Amino acid sequence: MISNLFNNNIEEKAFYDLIAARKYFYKNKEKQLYDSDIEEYLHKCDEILKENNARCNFIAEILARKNNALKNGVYNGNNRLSEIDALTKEFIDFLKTVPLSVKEDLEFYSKRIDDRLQRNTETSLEQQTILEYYPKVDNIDYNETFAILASIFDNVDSFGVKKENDYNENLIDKEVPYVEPIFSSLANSFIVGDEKPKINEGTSLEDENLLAEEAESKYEEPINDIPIKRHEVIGIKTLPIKDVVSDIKEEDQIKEEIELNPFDKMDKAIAEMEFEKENQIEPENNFVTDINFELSDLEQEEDMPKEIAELIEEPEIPLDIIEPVEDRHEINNEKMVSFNMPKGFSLVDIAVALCGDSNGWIDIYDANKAIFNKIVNEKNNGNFNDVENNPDLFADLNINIPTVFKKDIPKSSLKVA
Amino acid sequence: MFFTINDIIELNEKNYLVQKVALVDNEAYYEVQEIEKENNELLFEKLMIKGIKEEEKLYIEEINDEELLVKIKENLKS
Repeated sequence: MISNLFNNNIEEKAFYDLIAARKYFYKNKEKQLYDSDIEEYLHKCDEILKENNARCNFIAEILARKNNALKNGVYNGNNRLSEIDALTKEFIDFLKTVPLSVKEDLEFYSKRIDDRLQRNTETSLEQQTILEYYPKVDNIDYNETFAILASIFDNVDSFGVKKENDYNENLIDKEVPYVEPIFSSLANSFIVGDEKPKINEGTSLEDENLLAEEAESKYEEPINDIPIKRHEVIGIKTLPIKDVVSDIKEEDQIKEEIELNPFDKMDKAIAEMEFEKENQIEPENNFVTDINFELSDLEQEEDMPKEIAELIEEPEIPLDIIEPVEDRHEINNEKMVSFNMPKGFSLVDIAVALCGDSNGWIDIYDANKAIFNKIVNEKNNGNFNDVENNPDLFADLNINIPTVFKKDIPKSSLKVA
Repeated sequence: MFFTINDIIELNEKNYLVQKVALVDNEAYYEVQEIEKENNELLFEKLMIKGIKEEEKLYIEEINDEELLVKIKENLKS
């Protein structure tokens, strides 16, 4: 019997708030990254424009005016618009006077800026959605939330870290910046941007700086500690085309077919015909010619009702055959807890909340492989790309969560901003 | 270049299918996806790797450097 992860509704709500808060602040971090990217690209544009004796950094000027106008809601019918127009015209004239390479560089950076602006907007929208569902994420009380969720983390042993009985008291009473090991990975997820760990009263400025430095170095540890995995290659072989048909291959095959010239096509057709002749079984009835055979076959195919044609087609393997989740649980004899996947959260979100490592999703996926594979096949057309980050794919699904996450989780979920 | 697209890299425990290749600073990197050993069915695990030859043995090494990964992704070709 698999027990439920939550003992009551309060725990469930606190857990969702915790994941939502983590996601919200992570989005903040993303936005900061995009902003710094934009600054960097603008700086590079500035350098290029200065080298070519431009009057000003046109891209930065236009961007600033656009942002300002959008923020103040006076984009239309305002002088800003005419300023932007004038600057754009001047910029176009300037581009006519510079070499092609400079033009290409500027185009490259301006495209990057557009891309980051777009991503920034998307991230803001995602944040708004989170806020709609979980309005408290802005000012969640982590101490209270962790206290409520203490029993959950008693059940789920993240990376086999030994727990201490008084971790909860430490966290609440002393307000230490570093929580106990069971929470350290969680706390790590919430430290973003300018948010700094709480420091006890009475510490000097030097102490604060030291603590801040120590905190920074401590939070960077997991990134630096990613082990370089090296595996010996036993052999290399080429994949037979019939075995795995991916999108890439289909495209390649289409390209090959298009690239073949008519003579090659003819050669190919002749070779196929010869091959067919060689392998053809002679009919037992000598009175029937080959031509009659072909004609009769064609007629039959044309006249064949659709229903029969469908029956003749190779049947697809029904997805129901896949072994149920509970059976798998019994086979592996692993301790699990059940959990209802909330809407708007991905497997990575859940993994980070539970075991503090985004790679924990692999363990969760493994524990629910049969049902997840079925859903990916049904809802995502069998596309396994980025399923761990899809917030809606496994929503409302009752899933099993392993109580012990493996230590040697492969660092395969490589996230690139 | 140690591998080409559609090569199956056989390791002790897993097999990987080479799907994309990128050249960054004269070094070849490969996007590989895990496949089942028995029927070559694609699994979900994707990795970015490079090949290393040491003492007449060939190894693959996983790439974890975020900056390098961005560069590789920009240059990936299938």
